Amino acid sequence: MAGKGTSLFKKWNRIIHRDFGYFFFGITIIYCISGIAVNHKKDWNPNYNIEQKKFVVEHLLPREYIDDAYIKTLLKEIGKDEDYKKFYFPTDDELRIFLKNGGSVTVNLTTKNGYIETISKRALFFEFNFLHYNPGKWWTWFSDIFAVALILIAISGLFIITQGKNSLLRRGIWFIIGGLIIPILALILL
Amino acid sequence: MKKIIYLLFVVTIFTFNNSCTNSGNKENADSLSTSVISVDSFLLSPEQWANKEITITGSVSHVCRHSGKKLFLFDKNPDNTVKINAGGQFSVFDIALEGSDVEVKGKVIEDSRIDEQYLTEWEEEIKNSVADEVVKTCNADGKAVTGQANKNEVTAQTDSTNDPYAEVKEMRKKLEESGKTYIPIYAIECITLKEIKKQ
Repeated sequence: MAGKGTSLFKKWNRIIHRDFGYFFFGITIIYCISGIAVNHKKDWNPNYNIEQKKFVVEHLLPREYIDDAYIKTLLKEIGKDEDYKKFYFPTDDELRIFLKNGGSVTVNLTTKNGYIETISKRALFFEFNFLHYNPGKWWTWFSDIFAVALILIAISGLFIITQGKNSLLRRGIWFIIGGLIIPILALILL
Repeated sequence: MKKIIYLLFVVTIFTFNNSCTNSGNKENADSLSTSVISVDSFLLSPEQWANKEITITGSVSHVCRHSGKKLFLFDKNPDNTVKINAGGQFSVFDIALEGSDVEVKGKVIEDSRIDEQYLTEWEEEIKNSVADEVVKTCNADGKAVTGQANKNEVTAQTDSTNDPYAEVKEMRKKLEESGKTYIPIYAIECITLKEIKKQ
């Protein structure tokens, strides 16, 4: 009877491990790639490609004379002959123009130096990060189910090999302890 | 058959939850037009709105480039900005909102506190950014904090271009003058956001 129970447990353990692994394969990859990308956000922007192109304004008007007509002329002069949303002065000597198609133009009114900032979404990373940041609605439920499934995949993985030198109680236990030491050390040292 | 029933069950849960959330958003959108205030009005006394839902209008000066989880609104004075945290129908804000006029409905929350620890960490960040010659911190965030803390007051004539610690010094002075252990800084948790199109 005990043998039948063990056999049933092994069978369902494998089914859970295998099928959950298959079903959640895609989302695991998405979360992992996004996780690596966001982990290094101090070093790069995981969502956007941001490029800055410098320029010098030849004919710069004093701040009080800057109006819509001048902004259009300025944009033409720097090769951004496109519509803009708004311009304002973030500081006394800085002009910022927000472009309609995204990006902005910033000009230092004292030095006449400026830069055009163009922004584009990073293909795949933007979408992966969007999902990782939890877009809400039903995704919250799905990601909760995914998290529970990962726990089940991890636990069921412990019991895939139940006998022999590679089983949980012989080889596995040392790997588990090794894996737990790292976060414990982090809690102590960081 | 069992597999099909299981999949149908999962899909039903997702769909039900989705429809509930959508109807909630619709209700929020319907009530969006009640008592709209500007950023400058809000900053006159943000504490009076604490834990209340308000609708605020302003122009987007900055959207956080890394997470998209926050944006900043200004009105007439670009030095005075309010932080809007993503929430409700927006888990992240699109960077394309920069420069747009928007109307945000949200709940006012105490977002941070300027205390001695905050100021020390701020000094440390400036120290590191000066050393690296690269500012890695979000300037817009700092501006929202200092703008709110300086509300209705003329900022001391400190030349921040020469002294990177000028704002920290100013804040420390204000904290001491307040006689409190901290100055609360308020932000708004977004419930709904809509772009105001120009006529």
